[in-house]
Amino acid sequence: MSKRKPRVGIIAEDRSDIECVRALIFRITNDNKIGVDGMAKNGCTMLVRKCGHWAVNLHEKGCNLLIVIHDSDGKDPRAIHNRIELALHACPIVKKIITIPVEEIEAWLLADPNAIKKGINLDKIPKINRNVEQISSPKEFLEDIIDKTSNREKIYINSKHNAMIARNIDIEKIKEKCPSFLPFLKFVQENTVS
Amino acid sequence: MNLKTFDVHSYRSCQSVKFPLNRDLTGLIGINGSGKTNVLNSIFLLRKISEFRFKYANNRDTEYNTCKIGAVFEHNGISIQLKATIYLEMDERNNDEIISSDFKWKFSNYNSKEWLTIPIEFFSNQFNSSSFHLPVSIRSNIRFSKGSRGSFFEIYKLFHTKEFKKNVQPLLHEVFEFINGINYYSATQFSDPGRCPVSIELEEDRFRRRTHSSSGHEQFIFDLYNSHKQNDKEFIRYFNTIGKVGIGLIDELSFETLPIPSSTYKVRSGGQIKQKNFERQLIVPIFTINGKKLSPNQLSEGTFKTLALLYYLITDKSTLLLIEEPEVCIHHGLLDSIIKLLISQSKHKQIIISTHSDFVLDHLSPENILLVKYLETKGTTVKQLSKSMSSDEYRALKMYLKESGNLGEYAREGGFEYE
Repeated sequence: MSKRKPRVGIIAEDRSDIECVRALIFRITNDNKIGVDGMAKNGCTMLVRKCGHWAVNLHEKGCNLLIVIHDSDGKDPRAIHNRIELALHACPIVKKIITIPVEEIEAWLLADPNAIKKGINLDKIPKINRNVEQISSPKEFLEDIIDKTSNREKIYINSKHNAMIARNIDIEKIKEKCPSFLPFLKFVQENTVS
Repeated sequence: MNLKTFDVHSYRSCQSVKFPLNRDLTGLIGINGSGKTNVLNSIFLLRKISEFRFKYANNRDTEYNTCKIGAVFEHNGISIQLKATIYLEMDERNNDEIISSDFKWKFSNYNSKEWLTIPIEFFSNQFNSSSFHLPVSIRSNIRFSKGSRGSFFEIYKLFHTKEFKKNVQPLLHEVFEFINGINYYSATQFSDPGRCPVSIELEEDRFRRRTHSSSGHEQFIFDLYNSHKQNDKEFIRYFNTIGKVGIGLIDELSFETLPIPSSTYKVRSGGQIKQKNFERQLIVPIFTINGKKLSPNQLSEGTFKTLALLYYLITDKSTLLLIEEPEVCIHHGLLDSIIKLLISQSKHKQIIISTHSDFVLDHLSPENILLVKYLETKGTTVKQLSKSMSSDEYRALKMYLKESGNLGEYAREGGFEYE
């Protein structure tokens, strides 16, 4: 009997996070034909409230893997994890992960400055000499470095640029710099890479 | 500099309205007919009065509508207060036409209790030039505080005192630049791109307007052409934002330029005819989308509006941008990017939007919001959310946002209807 093809359902805080996670999955698996579907609606409170229903809907659409991604935004990741887990108590998708980047998902993108250069078509590689998981607002940090590196010729638009950066990212760099990325990486590798 | 508070009296539906503004982004919400557009228009009066007029109408109290506005500007911790009486009438398109205005100013760093009556014309740098000239009609209307009539020479002397020169003159210039940099973007301004001409004409590098009905569209194409020609940093930033490395609205933008031979004849006494040649150019804009070359009138309404909104948002030198319903005709995927751009640009220029969109509201916090209402007895009222609710209600809203949902959803579920 042939193994069922993976189809990933993503639940995130907004559409740009879904696009970003989708791009990361393609980078990890080197396979951009994996089926991906997603549900999101502006903000974390909506995610927690709706994720149970969304998980059922994704299951009905044929998803057999579920990734819920939620920024920690300075809050206790354990508490966020527990709230989402509770909301997913009736989730019909067995293989699932709740992944919580430190502060914001942009911290993962900051791990590879070369991907930022390539993704946004900058003339030079931005300098990031910090532990990316210790940056208090990675989104603002990314906005500033794009502004500076492009000599104010480019404006960071997270809804578009995050996926563009993720499509060029070196997974090894995130693995090396972002411990919060590791459970996500392991989940994708174990469940999608044949 | 930023506009900190604003008040308006006897203007359209605004009988007496006063409200504070955020340094970055403020959103006006309210039902249709509550007066949001009137509030935006009243702020735009500041820009209109900054335009030189040099005319003081007679019988202005009786012949024209009179409204009063007040504004507090803030610059490096210094507060500058303005009180203005404006005489205006409305044209057939419901636009305000300023007939005349009186101004009083107070500066926290200069005789802070005294109101100075200084015509706006004095605010320009021209005043410092030797060629500066004020018509007699204005000179005779200069008044100082307590209603005493001064003279042009008195105010001229005041302008040349050491203390005034040091403390106030730079502020006058800043205020002038600020109010001159107020711009208005309306949802209807760029409706129906079909009305946009496929080309524009320039005569001696000046824009030759051909139709009145498409003036907003033509003006945008002209502004876009000029920026494209200069190819300065603002234009590059704009193109990077709308192009493939940004929101991907268009692939390319180009302009074809064709010289049009043009001449006129001048007949002198004695029948001597002289031909005068002048330069005219036909400018043809071309937008490339998905490999197809399109004229502006072939763009969808949402694409045209977004191109125009982002152009003025990113490239112009606005100090304060008034935007009416940025959501009109925009798909929520694109709107998401536009709102994020509005938020990021509000760090560089003050922005006030009006909106009916719960999607837009989802991206804002209660601190950004002013609630606009129309009351039979008071006309339009404008209040901060925190002031329009009881402390219990405001706490309930905060709790809702933390635990249950977003601001837009709260509004949609009727959260603000009964305040």
